[in-house]
Amino acid sequence: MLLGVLLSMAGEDENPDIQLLRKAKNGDRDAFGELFRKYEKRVFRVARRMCGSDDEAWDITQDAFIRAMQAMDRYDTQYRFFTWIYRITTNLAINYAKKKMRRHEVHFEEAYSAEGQQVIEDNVADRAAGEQLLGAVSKAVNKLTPALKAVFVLRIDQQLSYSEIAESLDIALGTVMSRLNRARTKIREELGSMLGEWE
Amino acid sequence: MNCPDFNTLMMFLDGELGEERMKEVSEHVGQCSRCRNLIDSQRNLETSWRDSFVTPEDDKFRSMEWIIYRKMNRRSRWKFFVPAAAGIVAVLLGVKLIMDNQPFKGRVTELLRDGRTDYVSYTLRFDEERGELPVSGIDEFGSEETPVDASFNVPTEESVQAEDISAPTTGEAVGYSTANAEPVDRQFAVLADTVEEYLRGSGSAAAETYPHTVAGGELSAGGSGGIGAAASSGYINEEECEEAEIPEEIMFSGAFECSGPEGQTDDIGDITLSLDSDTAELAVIETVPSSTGIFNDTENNMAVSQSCDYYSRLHETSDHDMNTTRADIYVELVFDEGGQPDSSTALLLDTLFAGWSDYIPIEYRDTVIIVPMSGVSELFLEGCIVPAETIE
Repeated sequence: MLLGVLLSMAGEDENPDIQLLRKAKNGDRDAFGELFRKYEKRVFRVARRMCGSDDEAWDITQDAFIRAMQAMDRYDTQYRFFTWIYRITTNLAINYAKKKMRRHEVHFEEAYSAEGQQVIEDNVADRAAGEQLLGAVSKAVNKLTPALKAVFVLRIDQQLSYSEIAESLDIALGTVMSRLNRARTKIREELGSMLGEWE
Repeated sequence: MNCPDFNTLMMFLDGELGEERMKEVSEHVGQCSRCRNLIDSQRNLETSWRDSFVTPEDDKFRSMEWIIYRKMNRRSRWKFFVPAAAGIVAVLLGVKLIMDNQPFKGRVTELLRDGRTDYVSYTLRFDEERGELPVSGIDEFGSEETPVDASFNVPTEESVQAEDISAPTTGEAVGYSTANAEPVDRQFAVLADTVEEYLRGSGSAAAETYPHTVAGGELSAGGSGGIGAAASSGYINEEECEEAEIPEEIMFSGAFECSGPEGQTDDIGDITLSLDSDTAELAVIETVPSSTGIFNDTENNMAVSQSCDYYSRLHETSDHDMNTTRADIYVELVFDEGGQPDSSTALLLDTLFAGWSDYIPIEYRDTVIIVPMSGVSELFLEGCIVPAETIE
């Protein structure tokens, strides 16, 4: 028991993120800034990929960091910090998505359509077809269930390994594989003949 | 070798096959254009999608960093201000007692004279049959249809500051008067500088003062509830974010019932009492039980939801300035038919200020008392208002 505690403490000491987290929770402005800047863009990006708007993504980002500090005592140091913050972020995003579904506020397709439109306008004409296809991909991703989308986002957008995804989402490795396969299959089905552009 | 299945090809793409299997598939893909095309198309698709992401400008992250740090710093600091909570409760009760036991008109005059007072109180009287807050009646203030005194005139701050406030010429119910009072159904108080908006607004003030459901979340106050938020106008510009007075968490206390994801309900017990710390750094009692699942369920943490909601509104101002709203904090005290306190707020007051209800006159024990937090705390901290204990 004592050994476990000591090992645990040693493990924490070796984890600079946890040191920063602890200092941040105690009001250390610099520590919080360092920790936040280290993960802010990744957290926001996952949140934005998972939800329907920038506003929601900011909300989720804010919640994720606050909850990380609030729940620091429950952090299991056997996990890497970045997988933990990913877990918090994806859980928050899934909760947001569930709330929206209950309220029937599904508007992210329009948001992504707008984003795709913006992308098209910002690019040269010979890329227009490809960007339209990209818009279709975004729509297809957003039609995924939150569970499938979480795996897809962590793998494709964040380029996490299967084991890192399993750790982040607290699911089995086999579940990661099956969900990723289903996500990819569904996306390809949604794209249908449009996929020929890339074939 | 036959063509591998889609899943195997994707695992090959991800580099997640074992070393030997990777080698086998690699050799096959080198010879099979169909599999190669499939892998290439998937890689292109995913790479394009990944690269299409537009990261927001850095200043937005810096704003977010500041907001989060500010919130967290306050959270930790509040713990040291618990004793002050008793003080603020006394403050609130003091206001109530002043309203109850003193000729309030004179009190207003005296307080306003020192230039620091931003608080006035009104008693609205309604006929007993209606007995409701005049949500629609506010719009009709002064009309014959209003349930309030027909001649009731809302005083401007200037008029309240006038010396002769005790002898209003525009109506018999300006300020607080018990001379010809019918049973008081509702009593509430507002900030002087928002009184016009509060009373003459679209009715949203009353509607927002009284609800038991907090905007921005799905929590509903259980039983009598103890919270309320009234809107007042603010003018927030994102560029002035750091200087803007961002409201603290909405005040709430006592037992709440949370509607869970699957429709189940979960009593999450005592939650948070927080005060407007821009006005005065005061108190919070964080008694959220760890078992409430605050970590896993966003809906359980109203404080966060509220601030998120506010941030969203801040964010909306990025393109152009716009009026937004901020919440003022009100405390609501409810008494049951037997004249006993019957609200979660009362339980909190019992903890902080034993015997508080003994100070409430019996004639008010069938009322709902709503007291604003904003401004009041500052007044009492400055010693502007006589503490409750000194009032006979």
